[in-house]
Amino acid sequence: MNGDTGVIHVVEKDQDLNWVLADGPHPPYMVLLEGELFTRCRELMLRLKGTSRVSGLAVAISKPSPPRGFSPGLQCPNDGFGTGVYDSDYGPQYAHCNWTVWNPLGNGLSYEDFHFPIFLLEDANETQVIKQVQCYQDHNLPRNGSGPEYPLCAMQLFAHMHAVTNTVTCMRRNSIQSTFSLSPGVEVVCDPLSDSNVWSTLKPINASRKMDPADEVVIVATRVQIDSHSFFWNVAPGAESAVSSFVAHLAAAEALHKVPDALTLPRNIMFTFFQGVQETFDYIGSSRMVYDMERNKFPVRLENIHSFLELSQVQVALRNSSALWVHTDPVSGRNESVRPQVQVRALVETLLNSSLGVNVTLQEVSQSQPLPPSSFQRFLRARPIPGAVLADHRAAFQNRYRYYQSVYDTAENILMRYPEGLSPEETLDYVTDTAQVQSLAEVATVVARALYQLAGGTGNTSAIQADPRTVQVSRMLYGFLIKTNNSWFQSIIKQDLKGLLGTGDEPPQHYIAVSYPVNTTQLVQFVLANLTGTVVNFTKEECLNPERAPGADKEVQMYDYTWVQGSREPNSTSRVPFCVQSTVHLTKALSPAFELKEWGSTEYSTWTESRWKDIRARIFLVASKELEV
Amino acid sequence: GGFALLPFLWLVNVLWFCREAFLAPAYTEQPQIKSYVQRSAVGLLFWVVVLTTWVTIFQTHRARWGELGDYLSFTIPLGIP
Repeated sequence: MNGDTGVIHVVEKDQDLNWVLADGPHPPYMVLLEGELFTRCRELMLRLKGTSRVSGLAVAISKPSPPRGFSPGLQCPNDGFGTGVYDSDYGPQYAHCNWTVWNPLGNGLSYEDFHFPIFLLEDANETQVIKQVQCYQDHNLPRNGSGPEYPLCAMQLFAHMHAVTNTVTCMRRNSIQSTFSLSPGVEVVCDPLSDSNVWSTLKPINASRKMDPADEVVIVATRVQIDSHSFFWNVAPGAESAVSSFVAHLAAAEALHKVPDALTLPRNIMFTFFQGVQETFDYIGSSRMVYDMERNKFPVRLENIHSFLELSQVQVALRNSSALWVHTDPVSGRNESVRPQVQVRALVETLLNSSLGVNVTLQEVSQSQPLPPSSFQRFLRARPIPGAVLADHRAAFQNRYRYYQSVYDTAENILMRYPEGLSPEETLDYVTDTAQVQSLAEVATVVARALYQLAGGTGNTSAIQADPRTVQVSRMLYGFLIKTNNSWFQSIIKQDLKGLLGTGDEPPQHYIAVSYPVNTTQLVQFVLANLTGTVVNFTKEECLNPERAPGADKEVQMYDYTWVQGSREPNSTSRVPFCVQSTVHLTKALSPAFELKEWGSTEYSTWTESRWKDIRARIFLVASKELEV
Repeated sequence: GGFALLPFLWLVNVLWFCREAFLAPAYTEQPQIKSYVQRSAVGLLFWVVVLTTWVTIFQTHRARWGELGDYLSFTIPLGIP
């Protein structure tokens, strides 16, 4: 409550740490750590954790990004409690990364319990203030061989968290306080992580009724969807990890909607954007969707799923070779009596065929290799479904994924650079450095063609091209990574959600939060509606109440109508709004464990986030020990 | 009052009537008052022992008791186990 105070000490090399841990005469210390030490050395962090002489930590982010890579995630993501598909009953040799370690650079820092606050100093000027200007240099450095004397420069970090121990404890306390306390709601200490899943279908379906059991659906999912996770709160750009794959997915969805016989395909295609998946917290979004499907709360049932395609990390142009790898599940692939075996082969064949004529090569990984962490695993856990995961890594994430789940995973990381001197409009429309944008568009083409064939399409697939001039992909990458508040995004959102885009120039963060839905979720929803929906000639009242529109029949139940604010008229500040008809829906993605009140569940994700009041920091001079209360 | 076994009532008894019972010059009712004060003091001592023991145990062990500790608490402190 009162923050943690300590005398500042700058640690730039390993030897400085001894002062903090043993020699310094004025514990506790507030350590100002160079970013390089933070990223290079997990033992250093553990030593800080183990001592009581440290009352807090401020990390100065190192620019440029550390070349060797840094990942505070786990080496085996999403392995906890067998929430993936591989456990002792199903493919035990693949469980717990026995076969392949997916994130070898992971040092697991994000999952350690630190008893002091850790702040990130992003601005180099702030670090200079602490180090030079009237603070550390002037007061805290030892002079003439003797130790530093009072007054000393100290820092106080306020980051008091209300919840403790574990989810079971804090959820129990929530329920006790709300039932027995005089003012319920005030004493809630933690909230479950939740957001929404975005899904849309190629052929419209009636979302309030269940699908006919004979109908089949091909699901394409982006697992690394809209959320990311880094060590520091709300700093999670997730460029390589998350954004590339859902941008490719959006481009593929757009391409498929343009195919002339899209509405007459034998099977439907469902474009799903999961939230809270994988890297982050034990498959929150996909486990919820599977749960809803099993309990018939979702229009599509598990029996309707014909096959499953997932796009994992697909930023191919950064690699030396433009190859995408197709991962399949070895256990279901091997089981001859079960339907999937033949269909998995057919699925892989379709995928490989779709890449002919495109500049991306698809290759299959060894059939004995397990699936990488992906939301497909949650679906497999419920039912043997033929499916594949497309990723740009063959085995471990390796150099490809050097900044997995860390603060360094930014736009520079994927080499997006624009020439100087462009106005925001021009930057939006500028088709950037062709290689990676082109490759994303090509990946989208491959996916679109494969989906078309999987859905039973018989036409010529070479006519299907995703974003041939790569305009949309560039714009999406610009909007999601660099500047959300651009004119295209402004024109496709609802008017009352203008605040969604932020005001400044900062790139969007994709952190998963507890409020529902988070910015990026809604943005993806609007972008998907814009790319795959059609403009209909309704007035505002008709758009908001489509049942009353003239000429409307029961068809309106199949669509979602959004009144968007439109683009600005030239030379004026007013906008021309219009109505968009699309098949985009949002469903809540809250872990089933909280619906079932099984807070200690090992079957579903049980992650919660603590509440807090104030997060701030200040530096000041401390006169003497006696005056510290 | 005594039937209700009230610790603070007994405390007040002891403190207020102490002078009357022990230090004032003798009078006929004094032995009775003295015995009441003594019995109140005994009761008070008993309560002090019981309450001190319980408070000490609760404060030190509440976190370890987990669920039981939470159900026994009226307000649960934030940020500590």
